[in-house]
Amino acid sequence: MRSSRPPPAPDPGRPRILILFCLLLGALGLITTKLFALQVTGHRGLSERAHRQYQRLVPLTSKRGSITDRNGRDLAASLRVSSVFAQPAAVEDPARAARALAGALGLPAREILGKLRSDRPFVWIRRRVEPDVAEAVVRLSLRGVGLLPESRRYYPRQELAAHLLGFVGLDDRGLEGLEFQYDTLLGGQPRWVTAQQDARGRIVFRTEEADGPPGYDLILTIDEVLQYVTERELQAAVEKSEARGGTAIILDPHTGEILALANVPTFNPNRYQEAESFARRDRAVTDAFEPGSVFKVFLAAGALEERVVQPQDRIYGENGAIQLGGLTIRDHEKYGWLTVADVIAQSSNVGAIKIGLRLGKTLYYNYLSGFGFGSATGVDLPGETPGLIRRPRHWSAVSLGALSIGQEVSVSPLQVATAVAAVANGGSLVRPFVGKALRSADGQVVRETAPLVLRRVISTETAHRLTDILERVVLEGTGKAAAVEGYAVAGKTGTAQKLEPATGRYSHGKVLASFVGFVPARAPRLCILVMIDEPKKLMWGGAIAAPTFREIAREALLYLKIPPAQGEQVRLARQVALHAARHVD
Amino acid sequence: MTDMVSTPLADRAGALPHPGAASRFEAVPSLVVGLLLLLGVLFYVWQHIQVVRTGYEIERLRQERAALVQRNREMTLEIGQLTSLRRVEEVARKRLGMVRPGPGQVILVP
Repeated sequence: MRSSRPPPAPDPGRPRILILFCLLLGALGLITTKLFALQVTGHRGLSERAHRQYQRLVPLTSKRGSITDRNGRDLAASLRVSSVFAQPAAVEDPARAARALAGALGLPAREILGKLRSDRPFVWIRRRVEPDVAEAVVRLSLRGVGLLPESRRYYPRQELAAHLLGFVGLDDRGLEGLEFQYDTLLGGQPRWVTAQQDARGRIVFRTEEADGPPGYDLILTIDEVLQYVTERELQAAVEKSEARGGTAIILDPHTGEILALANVPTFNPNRYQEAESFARRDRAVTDAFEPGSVFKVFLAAGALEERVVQPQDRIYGENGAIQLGGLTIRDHEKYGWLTVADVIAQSSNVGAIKIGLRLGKTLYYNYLSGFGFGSATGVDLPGETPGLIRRPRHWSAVSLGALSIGQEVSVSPLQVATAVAAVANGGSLVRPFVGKALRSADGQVVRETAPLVLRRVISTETAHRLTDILERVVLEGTGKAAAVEGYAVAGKTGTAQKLEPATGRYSHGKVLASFVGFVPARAPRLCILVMIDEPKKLMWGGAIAAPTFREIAREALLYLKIPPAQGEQVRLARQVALHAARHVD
Repeated sequence: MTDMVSTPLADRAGALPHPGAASRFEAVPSLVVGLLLLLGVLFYVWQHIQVVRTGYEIERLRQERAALVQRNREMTLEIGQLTSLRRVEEVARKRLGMVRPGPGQVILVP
């Protein structure tokens, strides 16, 4: 039996399956093509894009090193603050954003709107804002507006040592003073590091620390207490004499360390923009003056060293007037016969000119150069003037006489102090300096400044003989007001008439009153210079600069616990014992 | 992954009820493998989440530390400002009525 089966009827669904299969195949082909495009041909660009999305560059601000006095007291330090910036292209609604930012920053909305509509890719809205302001900006959550960390410099002691410290600009770079001089060492190295962020821009991973490598801390030779006393007494002297300004310096005569340096008028480095340039200039270093009679110290040093005079040699004072190249130079009193020591003690111009004539041009010039006049001292402060002293071949007939009384020469206050320090320390010129050491963030001292003796200018014997003479200036001469009870003081007064720029003649009303000396005279610890510029009252060095020296010296000696002379100590002890005995009775 | 493992089990229990011991343990190896795979995947995900979470925590602590360091610096500077000698002298003179010792009133004892 044959079984017959009907031929299978054509499956009506088959073409549809075929079509579906083709469609699926086509779709698969499209997907494969797209995948190929994404994974192979576009791989590099896309992976870079992804990289950019989940990685972000983070600025590492480096902390600027602090500046401290010799005892570690902070004089300048940095704080991290935030600055508000915008990327104008990314800001969605500039007008609304400007209004919101104006409220948070306290700036006019129009000013902010102008910045937000800028063509530039990046604009600062406000730099170095307070922490609460920064938080307010964060809370606004404005697209295209952000905060960047920056550093802000603070000077906690306000005006103290302002001229030495200087200040930094908006970009955290030093502009004046030690901030400028040591800028590369104080400032750290700002860097950028890569961090991973999530979809909301929050940092997930960062391999680096929160800060970049910090700068070195700078330790100064300055002593805060001595600096304060110097500034206070100088300010009082300038006010008392109604002067235009003043300068005072304390040096360690043996090492050249500057223990204090002050100028009046001064300024607050936290608000340096508000100060005039005259007040901001470190005039102790940058300005040169005709020194006047304090220069007789160096004339006497040369003359004693060359043995052209002896302290007891007698010189006729010409009754207070001498003719020199057609000019009459007068003394403040009509002197007759004076010893060389008296010439210096009484500050006789006639006597000094006669000593200068005996010493001669070349030798005098050599000594002045030896004491450092006409060349920079090499102090680590910016803008130092070398002063001006012409070579002997350019001197006129009156030059030797004029130079003998401190005219026809310009010197900086620091040069005078350094030169007198050479007399104080026994005849060696030392380089003054203010940067004592550099310390790294981990507390290691990486560099220390060693005292540097530049040269020997006079012998120790001459220095001692000159010290005797300078002691007489204070004991019985023009510098009596500089005497400090219990201590031997050596020094010299000076009252220099200033040149009128308009007429080129010496002014009768404008003088530079000065006193420079050292204490204790026999074992000097402090060399102090005081210069009062254009006092309207008390116009003599002995009347205003000498008492200021005394006040500074008295407090400095007490602070440094430098005991008085031996005999004086016994006298004071007896006084105390007597007082105690009376109290018991 | 859980569905892939549970579906054959459900089939065996309902549609193909073979009570023999061999068939009962037939699915055990694949079940164990599947479970291990699942655990592996879960561990990987957990680890990843932990790393991310720790990253956030480190960043938060870093910011907290930076804020504290900043506050410390601010306070040090504030101390510096309050102990400036100008201010100390002013307080001593005006508020406490102190005066500077005159000459001879201070004797240094060596």
